[in-house]
Amino acid sequence: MLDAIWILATAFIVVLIEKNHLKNSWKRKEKVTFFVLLLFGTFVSIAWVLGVKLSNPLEVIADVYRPVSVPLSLYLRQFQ
Amino acid sequence: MEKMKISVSQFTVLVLMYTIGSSILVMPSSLATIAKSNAWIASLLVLLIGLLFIFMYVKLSTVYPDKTFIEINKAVFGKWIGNSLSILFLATIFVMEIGILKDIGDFFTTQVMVETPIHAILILFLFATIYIIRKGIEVISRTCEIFFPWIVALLFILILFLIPELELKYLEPNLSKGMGPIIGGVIVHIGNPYSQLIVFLMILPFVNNVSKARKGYFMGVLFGGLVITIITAMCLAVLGDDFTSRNMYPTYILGKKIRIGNFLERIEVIVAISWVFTIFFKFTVNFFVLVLGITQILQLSDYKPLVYPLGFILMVYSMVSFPNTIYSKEFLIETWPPFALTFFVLLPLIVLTVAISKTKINKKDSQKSSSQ
Repeated sequence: MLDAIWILATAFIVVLIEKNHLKNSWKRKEKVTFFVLLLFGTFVSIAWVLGVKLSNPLEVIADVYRPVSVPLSLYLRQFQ
Repeated sequence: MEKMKISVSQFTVLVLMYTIGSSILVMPSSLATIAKSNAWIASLLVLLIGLLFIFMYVKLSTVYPDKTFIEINKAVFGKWIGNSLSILFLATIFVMEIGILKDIGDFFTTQVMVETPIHAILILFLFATIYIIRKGIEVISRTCEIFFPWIVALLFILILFLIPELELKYLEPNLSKGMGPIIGGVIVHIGNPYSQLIVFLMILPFVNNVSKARKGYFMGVLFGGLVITIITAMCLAVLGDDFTSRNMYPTYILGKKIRIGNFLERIEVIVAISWVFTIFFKFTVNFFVLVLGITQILQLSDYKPLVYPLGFILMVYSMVSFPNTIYSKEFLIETWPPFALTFFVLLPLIVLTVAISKTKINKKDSQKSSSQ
């Protein structure tokens, strides 16, 4: 639980660091991108420290490439 | 963002560091697992194939000299198809990036600082990276130029002090299984490191002399590849192919073997230092390219909004996606080569073909209209 608070504090510090940019130079599009990504990042980090099982993106890639990777690994295994 | 300019020599050094990158520590082991004592031949062959890839990337940059790869996609295929291809390309870079981050953590927690939790190392590393990226590509390349002599000196010391330990009989090629093992070793390393150099298509437009930078591109890759080949041959000649293939980080063990007159011993940390520098620049360049690519797809005016949030995401997904070493090694050997081949080699090849035919059709059209 304490870890989650630390992550929230870090996200807040990041907003503080970017305060000048948020006030002066960034337009609406940049601000939206920043907050959406930051929210997603904070959300994912908190889920991870609380032990939620996040889906692994590499599993999807491995599934898509299975028709190629299985013969490849069979071919390579004969030399190992 | 348009004002950023780097010089040709800085670009060359950046390419060299990127090529040496993470491969110098990991590549001898994975090559020797498959190719055994022919690993150094396989390493040379991978370099030759890698130079072919670079030739293709350079050709692509001659068609559109002042555009990054994301912009080339858009110019060739139009907004929707081009951008969706670019998103797939950036997803590949993202996977590579989390792999590199996990590599760093794994190396430190297993070899150097055994009791430190992996997050502590990753967070410190990410802090340094985020700091340097917010300063821009100029600062990245200048830092690279400053640290380059250190890397050269450290690797030179490593190679020089190991000469007494060499046993050249381990280097004799053994073709009892035919060319199969060598080809297998080459296939595994198609995706790492040479095809990853496509990320420099995103940085090439920032160089102040693009035509000279193309030569620098070739030189950087060539020297980087030669360094990797020499280190692979050293690993084989000092440790033998069996010991090399059973170790996760044979180059680090190589440093432990240095022994000059019972006085100069255990200086393996010079390997760790040079590796941390090179992988730092590999990680930083990838991060920069990722951020720049997203900026260009979303057409933002500044890339800084993306840097901190992406740090969070990279950190978490490097832990989630590679839960253990076995999984990451399996992924690297089985899934990564075809995956990298699709988006780092086939995609640019298709883009190049379409781009060249498009410019030819345009030329014919303009000739027709001028003759009428």
